[in-house]
Amino acid sequence: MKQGNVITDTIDQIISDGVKRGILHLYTDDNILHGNHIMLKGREVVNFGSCSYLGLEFDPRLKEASKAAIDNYGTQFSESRAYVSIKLYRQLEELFDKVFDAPCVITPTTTLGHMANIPVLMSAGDAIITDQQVHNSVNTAVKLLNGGRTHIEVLRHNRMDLLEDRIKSLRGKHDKIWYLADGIYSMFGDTAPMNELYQLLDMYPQFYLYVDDAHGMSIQGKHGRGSVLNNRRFHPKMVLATSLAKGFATGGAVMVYPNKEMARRVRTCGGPLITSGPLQPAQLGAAVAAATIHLTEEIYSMQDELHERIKFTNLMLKKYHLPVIAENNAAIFFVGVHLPKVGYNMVRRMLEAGYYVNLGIFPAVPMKNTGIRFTITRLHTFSQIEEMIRTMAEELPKALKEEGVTYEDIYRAFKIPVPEQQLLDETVASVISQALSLKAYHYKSIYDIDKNDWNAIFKNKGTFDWDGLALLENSFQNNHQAENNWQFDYVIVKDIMTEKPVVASFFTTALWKDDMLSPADVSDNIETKRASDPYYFTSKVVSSGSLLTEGEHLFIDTSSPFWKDAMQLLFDQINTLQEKYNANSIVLRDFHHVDDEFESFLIDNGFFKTSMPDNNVVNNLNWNNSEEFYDSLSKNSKMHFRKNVRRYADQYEVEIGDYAVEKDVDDWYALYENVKNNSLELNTFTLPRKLFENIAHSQSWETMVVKLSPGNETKKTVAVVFSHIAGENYIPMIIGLDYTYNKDYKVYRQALYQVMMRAKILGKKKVLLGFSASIEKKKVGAVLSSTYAFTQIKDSYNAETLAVMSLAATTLTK
Amino acid sequence: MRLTRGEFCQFNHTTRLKLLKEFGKNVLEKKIRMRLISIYKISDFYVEVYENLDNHQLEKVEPVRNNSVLEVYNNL
Repeated sequence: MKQGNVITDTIDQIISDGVKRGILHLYTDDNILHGNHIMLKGREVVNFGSCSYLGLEFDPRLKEASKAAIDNYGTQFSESRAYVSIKLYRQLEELFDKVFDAPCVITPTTTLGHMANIPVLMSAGDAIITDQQVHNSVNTAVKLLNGGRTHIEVLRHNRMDLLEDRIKSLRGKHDKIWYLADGIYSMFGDTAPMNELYQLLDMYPQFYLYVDDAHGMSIQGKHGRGSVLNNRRFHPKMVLATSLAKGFATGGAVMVYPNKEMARRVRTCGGPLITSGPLQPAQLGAAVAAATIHLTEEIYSMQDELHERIKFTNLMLKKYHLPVIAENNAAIFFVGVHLPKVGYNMVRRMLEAGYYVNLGIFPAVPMKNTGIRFTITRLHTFSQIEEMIRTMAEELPKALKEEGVTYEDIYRAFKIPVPEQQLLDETVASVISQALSLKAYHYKSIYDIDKNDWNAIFKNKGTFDWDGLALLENSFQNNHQAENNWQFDYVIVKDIMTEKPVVASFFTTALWKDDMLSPADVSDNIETKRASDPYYFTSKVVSSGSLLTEGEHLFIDTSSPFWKDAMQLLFDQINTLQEKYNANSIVLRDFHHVDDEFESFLIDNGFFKTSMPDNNVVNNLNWNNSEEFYDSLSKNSKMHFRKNVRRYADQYEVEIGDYAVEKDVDDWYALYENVKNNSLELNTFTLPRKLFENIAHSQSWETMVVKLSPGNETKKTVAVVFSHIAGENYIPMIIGLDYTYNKDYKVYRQALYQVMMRAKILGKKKVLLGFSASIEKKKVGAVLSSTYAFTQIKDSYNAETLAVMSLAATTLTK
Repeated sequence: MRLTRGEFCQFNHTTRLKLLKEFGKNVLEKKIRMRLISIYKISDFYVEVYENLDNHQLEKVEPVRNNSVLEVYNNL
């Protein structure tokens, strides 16, 4: 399955969950709307989700102007703006020229405005830097740029120091360097550091700024120009996009330019301005009325009224000790609740108490940064604001307790210090209803666990039976390289009554390359940077299993009535490990079949589903010799076998390296390094030599040595395969190759064939051929099995940057 | 909801009056010449409000330091 589909599936799952719980995709029941009350499911609630910050939607002047426009021009004027626009458009454009004191172009929506602007204003020679939290509509337009030829990168949110570094680094290679940001960010309500951005604009001639100030329009600035232009001149190297569908209250958007030529070019060439429909008379009429109000003194008293409410809201949030993510001058507020399950719980509670608030959830925010987003408008009374916040403060501890989350978890997830008051209240830890029936056991080494107990759970599940883990512990500790020193942690949650395990797994914490699963082009690019900075784009990860194990790492006895509670105890343990080791991500991996209940449970707990590379498995070993193996293959594979395998088979010999000496291990390690250095498809760190030494002397593993006599030359070792052999399955985990002979003698294919023969000799039931090289593996009878992981990321900057780089690589290689 | 005097004073006159009307209690109203003087109690303090009846402008919305303000006005 493609990564994009998995993300869409995750979004589908989350939103559908919200719909099922009655908190998303809602419709009002009201026949008439006025003020800030709405009817939802037969209940009157105060609406704290409106972005119409000045409450102008009920202003009689706008309503009358809208009605008059319909009377005069009809319900629509259906012609492209490239041909004809109605008179109201010109009137509105003239008014906006006065509001902004700069040339403007009106577009039907802000998203369409970005799609008109960005491909016209930015070109292949430019570099684009997007803020990590810039609105999705901006990113959507960036994706339209030049078939992937434009340099695009992501900047950590609001990091002006890093931005300056990037400008310095890119200015010699690009015509213009554009930074794309929001004036006010739509989820957390924080703002772009405009003073610093203006300094950079003044300092670097090649630096340009593109700002979306949708949430700033009307509520700040002269004539309601917005937050970006509040007490600030229009910079000659800035383009401003702003919305008329929020504080302005009419629908539509305005793009503002530093000069007439730029405005003319977008008006002439911007795709949506040629092919999309125009704003319709009702909206235009209202917009003319709203713009006229913006040009009077009245707008300032409206702004004042809103800002007094914003100030009051900030004060109340402090008084009631709510975990607010940022104190804002904007009308958007975000109270962190950490996990989606708490978010759902809180929105439901608030609705029941008579308040509609928004759920801030993935993909708008990272999974573990779920929160309650609410907005304040001029229509709210002070007592409505106070009562809503008091209710939230009363309900949040109940929701947290119900979902087994603490205030400390929230502050930690948002990386903000825990206030003293909250620490004092933190007496109720993560209480789980069934915790009395369960006990979690944590071990630091496999040697602390009884061999029979562990193997009773994990024998035949993969390469991680007791001996397999002992080998890993011995190999991945006390090495020189940081990446080869792993932390091992074992967790078994048992039912106290039966003493049986309900949930069990082992975790390794290690440095991973962030681009491990990225396209090879992306890894290639990053590896050049790693030549001077070996840990560039690497992160510490707590993972179930390890980078050298495959199989079902997580044991869950779903027949136990306590399995979900046992999983909560496991999550507590993993979260503790993440903090202890300062790891960025948690990965629960190698799931083959995920049912809806399990997926929903993990998403509620802040995990999102990702696709791992497809796993190759040979299930059919019902043949007795090479001929029967040949007969079991498909028609195409038979042809391949004759041409690429059987033809050379006589020149190969296979030995099992039981009595390896130092020199053998050196040779094998060199072959492994050949493969490692040639493959970026699954980009990992180089394994330590010590591992190969341990494998060579392990009873659970064997080393298959493939030798070739090319022409009249003496026998040479050309391939080596290290396989786990304990249990029912044959699991080749590592391969080494001499590429000198690969082309002429098809060494890799021969090795795969010999693996099959060896598995049969040992009487195994399956061969688990692992990830990558699926086409080759299919030719020996492997079938693909989709594999998934569930991930939690603390800081998603690297992941987002890689997604942008991967998109560019994909577009280029199409 | 409890506001301190300092917090109350962060707001402009219009907002202060709204806060008094929404959260406070009008405990006295007296017309003196062309001025309507109202006293509100909010949280644990009193607030004096002067409205000019000629032009309906708010002239003063300030907390009073002396909580015996009611006595003072009642004796006028």
